[in-house]
Amino acid sequence: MNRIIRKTKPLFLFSIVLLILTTSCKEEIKKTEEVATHSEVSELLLTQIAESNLKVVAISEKAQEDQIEHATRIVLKQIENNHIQLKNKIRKIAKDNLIIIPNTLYDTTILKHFINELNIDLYLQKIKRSLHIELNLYKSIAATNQNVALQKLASETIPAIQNNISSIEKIQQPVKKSN
Amino acid sequence: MFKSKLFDSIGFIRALFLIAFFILIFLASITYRHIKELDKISDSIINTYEISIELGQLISHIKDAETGHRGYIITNDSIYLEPFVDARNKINSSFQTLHTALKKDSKKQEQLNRVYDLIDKRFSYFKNKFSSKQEFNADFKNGKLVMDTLRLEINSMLDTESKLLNSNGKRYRLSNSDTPLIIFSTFLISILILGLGYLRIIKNYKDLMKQNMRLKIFDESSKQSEILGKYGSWLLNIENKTFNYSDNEFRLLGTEPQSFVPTLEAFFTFIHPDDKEIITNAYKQIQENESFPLINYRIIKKDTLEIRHFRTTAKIFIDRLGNKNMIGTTQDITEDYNKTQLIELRNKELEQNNKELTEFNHVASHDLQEPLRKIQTFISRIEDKEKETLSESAKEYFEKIQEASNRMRVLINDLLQYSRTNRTEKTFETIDLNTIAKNAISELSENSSDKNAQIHVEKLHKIQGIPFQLEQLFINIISNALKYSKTDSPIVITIISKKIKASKSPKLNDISKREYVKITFTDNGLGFEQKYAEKIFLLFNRLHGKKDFPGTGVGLAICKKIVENHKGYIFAKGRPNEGATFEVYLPL
Repeated sequence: MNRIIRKTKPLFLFSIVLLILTTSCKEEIKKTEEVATHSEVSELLLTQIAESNLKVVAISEKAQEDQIEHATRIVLKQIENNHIQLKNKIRKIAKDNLIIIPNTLYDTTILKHFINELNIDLYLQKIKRSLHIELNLYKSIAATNQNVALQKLASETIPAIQNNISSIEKIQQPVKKSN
Repeated sequence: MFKSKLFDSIGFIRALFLIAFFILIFLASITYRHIKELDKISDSIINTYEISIELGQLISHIKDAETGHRGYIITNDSIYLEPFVDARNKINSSFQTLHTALKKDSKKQEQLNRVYDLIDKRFSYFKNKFSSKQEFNADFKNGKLVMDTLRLEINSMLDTESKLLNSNGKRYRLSNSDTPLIIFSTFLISILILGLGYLRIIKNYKDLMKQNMRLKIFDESSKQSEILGKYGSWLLNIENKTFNYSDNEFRLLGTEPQSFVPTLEAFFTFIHPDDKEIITNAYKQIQENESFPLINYRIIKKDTLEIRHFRTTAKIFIDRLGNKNMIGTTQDITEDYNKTQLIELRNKELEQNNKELTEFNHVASHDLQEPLRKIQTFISRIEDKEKETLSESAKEYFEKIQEASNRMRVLINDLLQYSRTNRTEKTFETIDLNTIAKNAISELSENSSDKNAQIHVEKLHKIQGIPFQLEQLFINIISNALKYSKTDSPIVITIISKKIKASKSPKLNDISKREYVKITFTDNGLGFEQKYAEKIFLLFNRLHGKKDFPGTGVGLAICKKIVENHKGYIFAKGRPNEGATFEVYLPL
C-alpha cells in the first residue's frame, strides 16, 4: 500500500500543479480585462467635456458680440482661445479612441436667455458657472480616471480653468463696486 | 531456474503502460488542439460576423443621424436631435466594438481609422445653423461626398470580411467533419488500450492464480513426498549464513516444524559426538570451495534419543537477485544402512560358506581320489596276481567293484571340474571360437572316429571369454551328442554361430540393444522330449539309466555354469529320435 502511495505521489503532485497553473492563468486574464476596462476612455465623459467646452466657447463668443469693456473683452477672448485649444486636445483624444464628439452645441437654451438679457454680468456669471462645472469635471477625471491622456488633459486644463475663473472674478469686482 | 520470460516481466508491463499512457496523452493533445483550432475558426467567424454587422450598423446610424439632423434643420425642433444624439452614441458604441474586434489586425485598424475620420468629417457637417445658403449647399454636398466615400470604404471592409468568412467557413466545415472522427478514434483507441490492458491484466491474474495453485499443490506434494521418502530439504544463504529448513527436516531431527531457529550451532547439538568432525569439514568446504560433499553421519533424535543415519548432499545456486545460496537435502538412511549391514553380513557368511564348500568340494574330491586310486590299484593287483585262485563269482565281484570305482572316479573328476568352474579366477580375453572348436574336436577325436561322426564347423565368431571354460563347454556338448547318437546312422554334428541383438530374441528376456553370439550345436542323434529341456541342465540329472548310457549327470550342469560365468544363456531343444539342438548365447 505504501509503495502504491509512493509511486502515485509524483503523479498526484503534477496534477495539482497543473490545476493551479490553469486556474491562475484564468485569474490573470480576468485581472487584465478588469485593468483594461478602467483605463479606457468613456465616450460619455468625453462628450460631456466636449459639450461643456462648446458651451463656454459659445457663451464667450456671444458675450463679445455686445459693447463691453476692453479688459472684459480680453478676458473673454482668452477664455475663448483657451477653450478652442482645449477643444483640439479633446478632439485628438476622441480620434485616438474612435469616439465621435459633438463639434456643434445643439442645446441653445442658455444662448436664447442671453439674447434677451444683453447683460455682461449675466454672461460673466454664466461663464463662471460653466467654468466651475468644467473644473469639477476635470478634477473628477484627475481623481478617478486612469487613462493617461485624460489625466494629462486634466492636469493641463485645471490650472487654465482656475486661471480663467480668477480672471472673471477680478473683472466682476469693479463691476460690483460700480453697482 | 528463476529466469522469467520478457513478456511476463514487471518491467515490460510498466513499459507497456507508459507507452499506452503517452499514446493517450498524445491523442488527447491532438484532439484538444483540433478542438482549439475549431474554436479559433469559430471565434474568427463570429468576429467576422460581428464586424460585418457593426459596419452595416455604422451606415445605418449615420443615416439616422442625417435624418435627425435634417429634421432639426427643417423644424428647429430639438425633438429631432434625439435620434441624432442616439445615432452618435450608437456609432461610438459600434466603433468600440470594431476597435476591439480589429485590435489584432493593423491593416484593418488603419481602415477603421479612415472610417472614423470620414464619420467625424460627416458629423462636422451636421451644423445647427448656417451663415448662408452657399454654406448650407456646400455642407450638404460635402456631406454627401463624405458619405459616398464612407460607403466605399465600408463596402471594401465588408468585402474583406466576406472573403475571410468564406475561407473560415470552408476551414470550419473541413475541421468540423474531421472532429467527430478524431474524437471517435481517440475514444476507440482509448477503449482498445483499456480493453487490451484489462485482458492482459486478467490473463496475468489468472496465470498468477494458476501458478499459485500449482505452487501450493507442488508445495504440499513436496512436503508429503519428503515425509514418504524420509528426507528433508534446507536452504543456506551463504552470505548471511542463515538457514531455512523444510518442515520434514525438523521432524527428521525429532522436533516439531519451525520449533527452533535453524543455525549451524543448533544443528551441531543433534550430531553424534563421533561424527561432528564430518560436519565441520563439510561446512569448511562450503566456506573455501563453495561446494558440499556427499556425507554420511549420525544424529541423535531429540524426542526418542535414537541414533539415526543421515545422508546429506547440496549444491550452490545463484537466485535471480544475485544472492548465493546452497540448497541441500538430508535423507534418513537408517533402514537402508541397517539392511546394507545385514546384507554385508549375510554376504560375508555366504562367501565364507561358499569358500568352505568349494574347499570342501576340492579337498573332498582330491582326498577321495587317493583312497579310490588305492582301491583300484589293489583290485588290479589282486586280478593280476590271484586271477587263477579266484572263483568265478569272486572275479565277477571284483569286476563290479572295478566298474563302480571307475564310475566313482569319473564322478569325482566331474565334481572337481564343477568346483573348478566355480572357483577359478574369471579372467576374460578375446577368443577365437574356431580355435576352441578345433581343440575340443581334437580332444574328442578318438571318440568321434569310433562313432564315425561328422562334425561340421562353420566360421565362428570371436568373443570375450575364459578359454579353458569355453573349451570345456564345447567338449561337453559335443561329447553329449556323440554319446547320444543313433547306432544305425552316423552322427552329424553342426556348429554355427551368428550375431544377434538381445531385443530380437524373446527367450533372452532382454529388450536392450546388447549383442550376443548365438552358437548353435545341432545333431541328428536320439534327441529328447522337450519337457526335459530344463531338467537336463540340473546337477546329477540324467534322462537315461547308467546301464543305457554311461555318465554322471554333471556335464550339462557344467555347461550351464560356464555359460552363467560368461553372463550368457543356454537352451536345449529336442525331439525324440530326431536329434537335439543346443543354443548358447554369449555376450559380445
